[in-house]
Amino acid sequence: MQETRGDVLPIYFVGDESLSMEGPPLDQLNEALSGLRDAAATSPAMGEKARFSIVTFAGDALCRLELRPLTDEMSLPSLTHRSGGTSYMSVFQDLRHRIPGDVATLKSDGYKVRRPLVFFLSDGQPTDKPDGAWRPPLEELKSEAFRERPHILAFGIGEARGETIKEVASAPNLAWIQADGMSAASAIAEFGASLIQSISKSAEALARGSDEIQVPEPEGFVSLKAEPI
Amino acid sequence: MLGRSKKPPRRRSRPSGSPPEGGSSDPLRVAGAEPSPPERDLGHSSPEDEWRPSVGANGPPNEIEPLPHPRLDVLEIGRDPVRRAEPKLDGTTSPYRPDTIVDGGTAFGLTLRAASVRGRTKRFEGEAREDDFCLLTDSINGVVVVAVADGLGAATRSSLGSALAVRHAVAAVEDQLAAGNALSIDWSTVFNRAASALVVEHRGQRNGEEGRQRPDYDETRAVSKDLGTTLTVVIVRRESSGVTSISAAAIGDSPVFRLANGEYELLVGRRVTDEAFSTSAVVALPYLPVPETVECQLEQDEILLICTDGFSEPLSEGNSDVGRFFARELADPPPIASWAYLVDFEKATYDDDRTLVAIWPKRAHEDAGETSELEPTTTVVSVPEKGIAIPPSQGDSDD
Repeated sequence: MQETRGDVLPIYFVGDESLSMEGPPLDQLNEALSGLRDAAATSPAMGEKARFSIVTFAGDALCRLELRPLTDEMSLPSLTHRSGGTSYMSVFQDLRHRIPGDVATLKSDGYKVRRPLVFFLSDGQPTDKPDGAWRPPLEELKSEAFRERPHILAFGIGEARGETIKEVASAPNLAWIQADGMSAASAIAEFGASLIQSISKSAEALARGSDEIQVPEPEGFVSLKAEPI
Repeated sequence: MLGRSKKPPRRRSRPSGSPPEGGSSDPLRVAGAEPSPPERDLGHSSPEDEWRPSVGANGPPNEIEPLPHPRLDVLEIGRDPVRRAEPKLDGTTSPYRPDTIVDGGTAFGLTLRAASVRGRTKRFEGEAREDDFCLLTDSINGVVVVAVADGLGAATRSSLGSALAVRHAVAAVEDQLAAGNALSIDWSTVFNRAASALVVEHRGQRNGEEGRQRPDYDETRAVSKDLGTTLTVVIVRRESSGVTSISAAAIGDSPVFRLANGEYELLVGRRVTDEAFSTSAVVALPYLPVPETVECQLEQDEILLICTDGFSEPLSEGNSDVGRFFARELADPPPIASWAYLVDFEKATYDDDRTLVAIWPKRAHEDAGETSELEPTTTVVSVPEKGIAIPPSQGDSDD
């Protein structure tokens, strides 16, 4: 007899580890991820319903944390800058293959799986060659033909351009760009707070039997469906 | 004959410290339980070694001995770790909304246990319980009435919605019983009255509601977003022949099960789901589609369960650790306080409010004269010939 299990929400933090993130930005990002872990450890909804993975990119994609529940005793990987550029393409290709496998594993364990969330954070423009080489894998990741396509929330800081970030997001209202006059590190602190709020509220919505994804933002919040897949 | 009863010995509930059957690998475990002292044998112990609180005759009232076992901790089912947090007291909701309500007793040869408990996430966030139930006994007709409701998570005042629905539904049944309609309850009137109570409450509070002057203002939708709730109502009657007859109706996914030989048979309260995907969209009041109804009987060894999806989801049609556990624990009605303990089990990823009402026909051994020949159990699903006052419509999704 298989044990019955309820809904889980896979969440991928996709972060930029390119050289320009060295110093305060990556320090702040590591702190934000610790904050997320601590919040999840105490919350029934986040701790039990959220599954969390960390995938980073510089010249290539690297999985820093395989999808798993967040617990207070776990040690998080430390994000560190790497060389080789800012390859959006590599990380979109990685996600396109990674997500179906993770979803299948959860389903085979008896969970009901909600549409995954991707939190994408970059401080620069893609360096993939030829120009625009990152677009086809992004389109594939967002395609309706891709059954496990995630919601992508995209955050741009530093040199990242608004139009690029907007293109990465799975809906226009899921793209945020760093406000003028703000340092990258303080923007990341804001991102961390938003990350915790979004995941917490979305997991609670699931707990209430609702499939609403809550994404607070400075001007209020937008909501979108996290329908089952 | 001191110390003996005609009744067979009651199965004792498991002491908190003793491992359940199957040892430590059993997915059903009592959290935080310590190794226990040997079980007391209430049947054969001598007065000297029998434990009892030493109140009154055995000493001054303030010398009460400690309980022999660790206090009951929360019941955990399943192997996945459960995140527990001290519940936040919800002192802000008006009307006052307790975390847990529990009730029970016997009437007309029926034994009933009922509990509604707040989900863990709501406890963590300090939000009010959205489930509710209401009970009624009618001595003239020998009838027990149970209403259970689950306020929509997306509705602003869902706790009030479910509270209004169960109370008005039970009042509507009571009126019909008083009018001599015990054998032919008009369900449309019952659900219509509950829905109307939501509409009336909403109208009293809607000052300032955006858009109500617009020509496309949809009041039913607005009420749903304010007070939307499922509603399931069950009438249980002990016939003079000894037969227990059931009449049940539901709008939304708060189901009624008949538990027989470990099998859970869903009677009403199906969740409408897409073929391929699970969905949390539900039909619920104030929308008034034709309710699902059933007329059937309950055998002496069967148990009727009325619940919300906080119970039926982990139950998963009974083919589950939860289903097996409750089939075992429900063999006899537990004490009332234990009922809340059972219903409040914790299982990872299931943290919705949970309501469970169980009804046992009079046990065979309690009155040997009444147990003999029951009619075979029959189930008749009926569909009213016509709809109800407010046109049938698909309820708002739970979004």
